Amino acid sequence: MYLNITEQARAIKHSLAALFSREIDTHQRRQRLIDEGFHLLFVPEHAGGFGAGGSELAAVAAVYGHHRVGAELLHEMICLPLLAEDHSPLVTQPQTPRAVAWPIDNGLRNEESYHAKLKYVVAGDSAQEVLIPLPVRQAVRPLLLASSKFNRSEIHRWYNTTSHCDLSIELHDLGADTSAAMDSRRWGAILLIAHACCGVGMAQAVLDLSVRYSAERRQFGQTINAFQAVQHLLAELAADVEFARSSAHYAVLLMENDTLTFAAIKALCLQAINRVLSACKLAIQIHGAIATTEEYIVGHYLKDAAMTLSWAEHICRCLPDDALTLDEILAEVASV
Amino acid sequence: MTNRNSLVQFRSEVRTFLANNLSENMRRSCLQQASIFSDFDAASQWQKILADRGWGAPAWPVEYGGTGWSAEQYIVFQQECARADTPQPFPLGLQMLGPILMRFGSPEQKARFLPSIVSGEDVWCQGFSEPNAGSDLAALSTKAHKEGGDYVINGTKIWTSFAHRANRMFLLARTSSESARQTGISFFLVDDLRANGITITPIVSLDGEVEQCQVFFDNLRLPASALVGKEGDGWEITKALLKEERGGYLYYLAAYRQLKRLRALVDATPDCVADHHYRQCFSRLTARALSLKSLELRVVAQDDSAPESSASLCKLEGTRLSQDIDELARYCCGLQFGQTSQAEYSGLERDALEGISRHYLNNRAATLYGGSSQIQKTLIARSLQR
Ligand SMILES: Cc1cc2nc3c(=O)[nH]c(=O)nc-3n(C[C@H](O)[C@H](O)[C@H](O)COP(=O)(O)OP(=O)(O)OC[C@H]3O[C@@H](n4cnc5c(N)ncnc54)[C@H](O)[C@@H]3O)c2cc1C
Repeated sequence: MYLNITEQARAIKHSLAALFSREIDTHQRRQRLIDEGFHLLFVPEHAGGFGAGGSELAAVAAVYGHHRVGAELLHEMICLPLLAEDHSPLVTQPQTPRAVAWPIDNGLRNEESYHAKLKYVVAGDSAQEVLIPLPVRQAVRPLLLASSKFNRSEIHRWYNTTSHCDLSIELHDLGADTSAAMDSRRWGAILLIAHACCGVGMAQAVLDLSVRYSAERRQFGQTINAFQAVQHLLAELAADVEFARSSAHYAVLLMENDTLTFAAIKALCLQAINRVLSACKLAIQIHGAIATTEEYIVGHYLKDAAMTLSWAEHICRCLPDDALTLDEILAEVASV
Repeated sequence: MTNRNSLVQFRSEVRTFLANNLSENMRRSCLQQASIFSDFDAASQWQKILADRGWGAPAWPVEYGGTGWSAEQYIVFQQECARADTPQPFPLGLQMLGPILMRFGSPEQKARFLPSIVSGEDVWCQGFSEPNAGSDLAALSTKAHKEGGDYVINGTKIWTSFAHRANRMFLLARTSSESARQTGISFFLVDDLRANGITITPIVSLDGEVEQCQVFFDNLRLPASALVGKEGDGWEITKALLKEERGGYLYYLAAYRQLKRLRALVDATPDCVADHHYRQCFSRLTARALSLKSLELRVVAQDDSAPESSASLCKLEGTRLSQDIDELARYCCGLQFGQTSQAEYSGLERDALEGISRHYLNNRAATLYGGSSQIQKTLIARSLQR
């Protein structure tokens, strides 16, 4: 059982990669995604989108990671299909995916903003409701609270990009058996998978950079890839990339087939992202001091991967496990 | 050997001194510490305070302005400094150049340069690595040719830590390209980094700050008295110096400082994660720090049971441990990780969050500088074959 990356997914991946390598500014990238219709990729056909599925998600998210596109645009893209499924109004001013809210209860709205009413249970106790004002100018904020926590200028500094996308997602600790918790688990699964696949793109990027650099950098009269110690680092790195990919793709498959649920997807995605982080650390070690500079790209993938893992862990902490038993997951290992 | 009672007394003397002299700002700078180097200004200030007390060079002999302490007293002093969160004095003069000058320097060089290292007036940086000479240091190509009585230096050094703040540099340059690579290298002292013929270009690190520089030499003139030892002694001197670099550092106390910062943050910050995973990892990391302590104390005491390759073993494990602590710290920070200058936090929490995030990035360098982990492993393996 493995994920088949379809021809269509490959084609989309190539066009996206071409788009991202032309545009480096987040705002321009976002605009270009919208202009070329990519923002509707995962929206079901009946809702006016392209109805792309898991194979495309895996391929597309990896391109996002590889090109350091930033989590906001990824979130934006994967939020849309859920809106469509939820039959919430998909408000698109001609071809822009702005101003969409994803209320669990149906949202109230007025001209200026949506007020999403979010019901959630903190630590399994009393249910609480909050009204969340979501200004129209803001992008999708699924299961979220308008957040002041993310200081945009700091995110700039961190990612060294100019972002015009004002998206942040904040998840809250949910009790196990509420309907919100069930929905949020689905949410969590999709977010996790998207991040894991995005990480695969980062890991592949640092592997490519390391293979190339180690064939060029000379020390002791030879290229460093001639040293067995460096070959072993490269081999570990290649293993991280392949097993990150395998874990993430397995998670996509589980989501597509709706077979195993959150606990298995969570374990697979965390495993994938941990290997992505390990890949980035190995790549820095292979490169030497040059990788510790702001100027050279390889170290920036470490930032991306560390943030991705922090995100994934956060999602897992917030969303309760489902009732899946260890035996059920174990049985999956021997299934066809 | 210092007896137990006098050590207890010594510890309390150090503790009282630290309590009376360490300012809140200096302590704060430790929470923000983002690499092995303390904040430059805090470290300079602290060095001067130590020097006034006569403790400016805790590991040096008295004749050169040191304390003449026993190995045990030295350890106690370092432990108390770690407990109190003191800045760490800039190591390149104190731990590397000083011992080298004592051994290889001329009487004039010792008299001129050692006292100002102890007092903190002079800060030295290390001009060894070059773009094409990293692990393979003997490949260096910066040249020193004789002209009249002077040496004229041309070439470039890279990754020079704190060249933009230091006022002096010890430098390796090639005085001969005829002999074997190693024997053509000489060791020089540059007494003024602002002199004509030197250009210093800062290198921005992954965390957006500057610690390293590239330094260009364009016909820099040095007097013959800048040479340490004889022409061609540079490689032997360097081997001794790198031994100091690898051996003089107590990794277990660096780990202790990191673990303490993490603990303080988790206790004080509601958003930090303190779960089962954290507790399990924390105790494992603490156990590793203790085992490192056990080996490092044997090394300092020159105990026979410490293996020949102890310096490499300690660097290998010490840097790995430190990076693993970074990873747990990242986990505990949750979504606060990487967000510097947190508006809603103040004081300790903000400093520690910022320090942890930046340390996470900068500390990848720990397994590269001072001989990469791969080079350390080669040294360990070689020592087993002897
Ligand atoms: C933060 C920082 C501060 C520094 N400060 C200073 C300073 O103050 N002064 C100074 O002179 N230098 C300084 N350095 C430079 C440091 O000494 C070099 O980075 C180090 O020697 C490694 O060289 P390199 O980075 O060129 O890597 P390279 O030597 O190019 O190594 C790249 C990779 O190849 C591996 N490799 C190379 N040769 C071998 C081999 N024979 N066998 C097995 N593996 C091998 C390495 O382990 C590494 O994984 C600093 C570096 C950093 C990152």
